[in-house]
Amino acid sequence: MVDPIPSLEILRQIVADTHEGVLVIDRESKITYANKRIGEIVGRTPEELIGSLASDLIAPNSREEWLKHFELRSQGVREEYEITLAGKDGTPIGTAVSAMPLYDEKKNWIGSAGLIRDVRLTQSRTFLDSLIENIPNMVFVKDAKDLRFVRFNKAGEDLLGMSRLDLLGKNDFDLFPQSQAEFFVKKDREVLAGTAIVDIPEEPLHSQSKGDRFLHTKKIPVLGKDGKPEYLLGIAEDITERKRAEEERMRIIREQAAAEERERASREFLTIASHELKTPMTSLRIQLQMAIRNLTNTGQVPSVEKLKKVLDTSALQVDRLTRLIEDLLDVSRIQSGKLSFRLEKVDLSALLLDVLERYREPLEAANCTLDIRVDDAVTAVIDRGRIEQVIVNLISNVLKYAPEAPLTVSLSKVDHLARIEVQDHGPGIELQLQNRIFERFGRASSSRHIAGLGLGLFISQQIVEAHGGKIRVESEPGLGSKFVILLPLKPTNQPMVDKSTYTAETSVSEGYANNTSR
Amino acid sequence: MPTILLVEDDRYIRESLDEFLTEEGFDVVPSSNGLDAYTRLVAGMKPQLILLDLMMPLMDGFQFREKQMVTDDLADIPVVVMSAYGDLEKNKEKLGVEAYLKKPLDIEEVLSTIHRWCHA
Repeated sequence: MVDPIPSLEILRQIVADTHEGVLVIDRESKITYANKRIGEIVGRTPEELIGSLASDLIAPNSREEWLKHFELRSQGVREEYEITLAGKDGTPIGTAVSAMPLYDEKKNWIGSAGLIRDVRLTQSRTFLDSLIENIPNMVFVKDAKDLRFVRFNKAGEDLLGMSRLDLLGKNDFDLFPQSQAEFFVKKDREVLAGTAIVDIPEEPLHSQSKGDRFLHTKKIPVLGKDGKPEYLLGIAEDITERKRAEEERMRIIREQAAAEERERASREFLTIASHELKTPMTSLRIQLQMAIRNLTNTGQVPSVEKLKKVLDTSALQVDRLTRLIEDLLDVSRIQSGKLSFRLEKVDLSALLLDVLERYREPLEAANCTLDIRVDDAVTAVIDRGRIEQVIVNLISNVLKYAPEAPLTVSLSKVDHLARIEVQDHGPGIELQLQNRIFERFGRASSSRHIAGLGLGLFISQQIVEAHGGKIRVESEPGLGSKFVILLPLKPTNQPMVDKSTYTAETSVSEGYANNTSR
Repeated sequence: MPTILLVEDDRYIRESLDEFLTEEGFDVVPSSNGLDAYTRLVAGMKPQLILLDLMMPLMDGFQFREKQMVTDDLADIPVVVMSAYGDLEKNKEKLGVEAYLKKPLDIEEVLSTIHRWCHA
């Protein structure tokens, strides 16, 4: 192919006006020619440049490197390389140089020529790209118009388990479940409507490779030259592990707190139980010690009256103790899951009437006029002794807390349930205490002492629920209380009460009222 | 006859102790809670000794002691605490009392303790 050499004048124009910088240097690296463009690049006039040393143009740190390149020229090597020049004020100027050796007619080496381009912009871009690529958090950019992805870094690809080739050009709805995509887009719109960074402390994201993750994302609007949003920049940190660790930590703290609470409750229980047992013991002991003392001192037998009084009081204390001990043992059985039942078919009406007959005298003595409404045959499969215990508990509570007022006891059948109601006309129970009374002590804190352990209703509830039934109270202060027991006629639950996971309730409020102990 | 203010909420303990101490020659004034006891003292009653239960409704033994100690003519009445509650040492300090009897009581111990301050 013929390669016509342009005329000298055309060559001159090309070299003078080209957008590339052109430098010609001699064997000593003195500049013999510099075009306008190289002048622009390095911030000096061609006149200033011609006659000075090329090495003066090189950034001081790069001079040694450049000398190696120049050395290659002397060996006849042409090459392209990058080198940093120094502007007149010392500014580093990144350039790409296309360098070639020059020869005279006799093929002697006379110097070199370089075509030089200012590549600072490219270098910055490359630098920034590498930064973005290496940021360990996901970095993405969407265009502001239709929120399609235009940029994804490596961390983003890793998180989503997709290459950026599959991500770019798509939007959230193409990549994520609808509800998540809707949330992302909603936030995007929020960001683009303003000028500030929007911080999303936690948002869920479903990743193809990593499953369900949680991200802490910041979204920033990137405005164009017209001040309108052009892009949306997002930086997201995968906080899933951190979140899980936090949740685990909280779980452990909660468990510790629960364990401490159980510990505290059982300490409290022991304290109260020990106090309650010692109380009847005290009067019992005094009575007996007094009797012995008198006998010893006087050598005389006490009168029948006196003796009877001592024995009656003693027997009473023994009864109190017995009931307390039984209650404590029941609570202990409940807590260790050993409350067992022996089921049999029982005529509930007969059982109820039996208990009421046993309590006829004390009820009369307390002026509790009795109104009994019992349907004829209500038979249920229950533990006779235990259900009797529940009824006795309710009746003795009436004697304790609602004397001098009428009492209505009723029994009926509702579907497959037996319904027992014990309605008194005593002082009633405040709403906030109505749940409390079924708790273990169901009463005010230990600084306020009330006789008895307050276990009756707790145990009753355990018994009733173990039968698959329910017990509740309906009451208003001033209007008395109605206790309602619902019992399945046929057993629905396992009668074994499994309380191995029983957790202690906190004992209670200062809501002290005359009638909190039941 | 020396007077003893007996503050105890359990009726059977109160009645038994009352009976015993009366037989031993003391004038026993029974009270069923701290508030009642404090009211009586403020109204002018001056016992030689106070037998004080700790766990009572309305005003317990701790609260009673607090009030007694800041009231001028009442602060110096000797107090013997009776209680089923453990942690004697901590309570003794807190209550600042002369003696602390553990329940269930032993009547000889009760008597000998009282005799440190008054005889019938």
